[in-house]
Amino acid sequence: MLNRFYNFLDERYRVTPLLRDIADHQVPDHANPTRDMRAFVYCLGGISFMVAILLFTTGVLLAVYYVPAPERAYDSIQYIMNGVAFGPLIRGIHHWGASLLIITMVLHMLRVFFHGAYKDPRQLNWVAGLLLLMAVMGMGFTGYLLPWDQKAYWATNVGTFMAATVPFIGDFIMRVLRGGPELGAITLIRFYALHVLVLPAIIGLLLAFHFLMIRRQGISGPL
Amino acid sequence: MANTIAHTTPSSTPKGAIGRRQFMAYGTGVIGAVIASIVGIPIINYFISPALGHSQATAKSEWKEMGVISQFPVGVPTKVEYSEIQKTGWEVAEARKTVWVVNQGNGQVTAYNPRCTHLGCAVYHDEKANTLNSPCHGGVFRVSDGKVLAGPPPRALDTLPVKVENGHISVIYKDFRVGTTEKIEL
Ligand code: HEM
Ligand code: FES
Repeated sequence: MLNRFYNFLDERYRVTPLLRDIADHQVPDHANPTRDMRAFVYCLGGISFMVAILLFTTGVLLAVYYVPAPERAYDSIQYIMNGVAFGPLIRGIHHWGASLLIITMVLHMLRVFFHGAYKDPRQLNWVAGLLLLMAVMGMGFTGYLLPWDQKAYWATNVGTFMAATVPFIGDFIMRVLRGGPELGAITLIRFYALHVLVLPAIIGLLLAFHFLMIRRQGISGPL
Repeated sequence: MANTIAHTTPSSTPKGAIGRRQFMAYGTGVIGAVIASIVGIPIINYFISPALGHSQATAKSEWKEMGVISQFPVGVPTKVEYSEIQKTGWEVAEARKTVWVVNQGNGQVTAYNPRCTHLGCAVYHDEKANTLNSPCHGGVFRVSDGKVLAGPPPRALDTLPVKVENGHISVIYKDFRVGTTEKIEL
């Protein structure tokens, strides 16, 4: 049955070459931790991707219950924590995963840096990586407000005031971030929109470029 | 086949002049830019418009009664809280306002905006040291004049206009920019 369905697809869309291309793609020896454990540093990018997938999955699950409005946000998260089966697990993975992703991304960057893997011809992939790091930090900044508790409120208060100290346009940047002079309902909903729609879309695109460039250029050679 | 490539200029065009193909290419670029702005300007304005409006805090420059001077202990700050209806975007909610009032003794009164001048955390009274402290990055202010005693704040606590009439203290609440050495009203 499954076989017949596969053949149906393959006859029409020739999927076998695509799958072969992935399955036959060899990990070069110098990047293979089963040959030398020290090659594990090459896994840090993949681990970051795995953590990101975890964040996306748990994030979508949180969005099933979370309500991005000042009178509701805190209570909706209390409900996730106390009323929903596995709520604390899902939120816990999202909460700790957010910090873990920053750690694995920075370690991945250090690997690339010390191997000199950012050098010509891979300079654009380094740039893509930097943009990814900034987008993920944006996820951290916008996500942190969502619980709408004291820590969230004051952290965003301080964070947006930091933007306000930029010369000349600082006050304007702060107002754009807050959606007005004060922190309130408008701030919460726009942070939410950035957190679950805008930034994930940007991160998805950047990841696609990141991986396509790696497939084209291969992993950089041994030291 | 060569002339199907967009950027080859037919040889009949004099050197340096813009040929038909080049003209069409520029034209397409211009039309593209126009379409991009027609789409882009509303999107950008939609996103930033709440930032362009002015502060909607109500009763901004009105005297607000804080209490009778004899109720305020001398030399220590007293936290006065009141609430007022404030509109942010569509949200109309009660906003809590805090003012720190210091009775200086000789009939003089000083009132501070509660925002730490570093990055805006609300200061609290450290009763042991009798200072006003920021909970965020260690800013410490002197009670008598708001001077910075420790930490990163770039200027003293912001004083508010105060008047004492028949023993009644009134204050005008104002907010100021944080993180700057000068006191700039918002
Ligand atoms: C790179 C990926 C992501 C990062 C770094 C990230 C970061 C964060 C952080 C730091 C919080 C605050 C959580 C807490 O302290 O308890 C948060 C909350 C939240 N995030 Fe994300 N997030 C990511 C992806 C997503 C995605 C893809 C979605 C949904 C489509 C999402 C939906 C939510 C929701 C609904 C909350 C509020 C619930 C809560 O605070 O527990 N997140 N996120
Ligand atoms: S906000 Fe007060 S010390 Fe930073």
